[in-house]
Amino acid sequence: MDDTDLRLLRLVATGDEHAFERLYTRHAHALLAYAEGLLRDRGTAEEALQETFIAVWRSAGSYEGRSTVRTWLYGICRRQALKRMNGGRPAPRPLDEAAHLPSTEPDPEVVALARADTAAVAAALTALPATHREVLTLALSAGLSHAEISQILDIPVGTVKSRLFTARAALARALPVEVEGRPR
Amino acid sequence: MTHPTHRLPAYAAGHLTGDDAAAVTAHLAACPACATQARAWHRTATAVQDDTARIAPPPPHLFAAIRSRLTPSPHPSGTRPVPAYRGDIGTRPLHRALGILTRQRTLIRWPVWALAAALIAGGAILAALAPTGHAAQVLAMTVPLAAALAVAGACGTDNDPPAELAAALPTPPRVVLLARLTLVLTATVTAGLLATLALTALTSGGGAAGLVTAWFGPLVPLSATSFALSVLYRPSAGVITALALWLARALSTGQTAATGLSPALLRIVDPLWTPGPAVLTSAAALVAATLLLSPRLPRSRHTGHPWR
Repeated sequence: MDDTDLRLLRLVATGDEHAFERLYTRHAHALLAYAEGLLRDRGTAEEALQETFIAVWRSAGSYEGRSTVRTWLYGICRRQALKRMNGGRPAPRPLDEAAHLPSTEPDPEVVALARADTAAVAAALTALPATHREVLTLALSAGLSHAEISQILDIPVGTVKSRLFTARAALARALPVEVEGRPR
Repeated sequence: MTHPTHRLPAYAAGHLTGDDAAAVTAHLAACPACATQARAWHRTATAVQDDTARIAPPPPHLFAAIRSRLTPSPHPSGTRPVPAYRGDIGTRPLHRALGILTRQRTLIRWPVWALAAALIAGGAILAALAPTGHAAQVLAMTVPLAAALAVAGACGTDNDPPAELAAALPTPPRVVLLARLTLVLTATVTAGLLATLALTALTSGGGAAGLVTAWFGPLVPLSATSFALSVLYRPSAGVITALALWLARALSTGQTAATGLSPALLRIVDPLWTPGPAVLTSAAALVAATLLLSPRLPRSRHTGHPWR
């Protein structure tokens, strides 16, 4: 795995502002997108990003390498975003998750999603609750592994896997109805 | 056939590389069920990635704002910084010393004061009720214990949010520590003196000087031990050691109950209660060494994980 982040963070720990700027350039956009997805507000998301990097500068020396640097950054960013979230943190839904154990055989909803057009999926995505959007963003957009997501969300790896499938099932259910009957 | 069900999200999002990706591609060619799953994941990934891409990059002024808030340099890990005082040394030193002292009062938590006050008041009452000649013994058992526990509570830094703040101020940590020690000892010694004066005024028996010597002697080594352990290790160690020394002394003077411990062992602590020059010098050296070492302790146990 690329160790650029680790090298940069070690330099940041010694007070290197140039390394700090490079670390920012590498991750600020993705972290801002993550925060904005959680908060649904540009101004608050920018504020969370700002506090995230202030915290990175201050605590670079205490990074212990127990997670990847990227995981560490997302973890700090998540904490900053949740602090600013109205109505508390996105609540997991245990029953919902248990109902959608990942299976190999595609059910009709998955088939519908596989056939749906881009605009319909994009519209359905905006209707998803924050918990579902969050796990999809971390896995599919940020490209984090299940283990990394499990550290960020502080949940077991198994739960990350099932939550991903639950989120996708919710996405499929949120598709406009007419899509299902439409010929390819 | 094992299906790569859980690798499909990463595969569809384009995050799998090399052999991993090739293995999934090969599987999909032979497994229609997984191919449908992969297409559904691909739709999902495209929508999520488009959604992320629509979010504008952070504006340049955001980084400028962050940069303007950076402190000159973060602390190198592992050690507590030892800030130097850069003000005009010598201007209004008394005013400054008084300021540092009085501010420590608000930083020391109230149970510390309450416990010390209760112990000294209780000791004074017991001493007043004790048979003639035993007042000194009672005070010697209570006032030093109050001082040792108060020192542990005030100077130990476990779970002490103000310590984080204090470490960031221009006042050196040693001065803060010394101020706390001074304040706590001044308070307990003053309370002990007042209790002794009240006692001699009420009972009209025994000289005040004798009583003060009886409790001030053991107060010095006991507080020094508690101080060193609380600062260098943790407050609970200071408290436990002070209590253990106290108990050993209580059993050694009592001698009524069968303890199962050899009297010789218990008498080891006796010199602490009638300290000679050697014990007093050692106590002073212990406090000096603790003050010298305190800012250089690793601070890892004081800092939590930044996002836990």
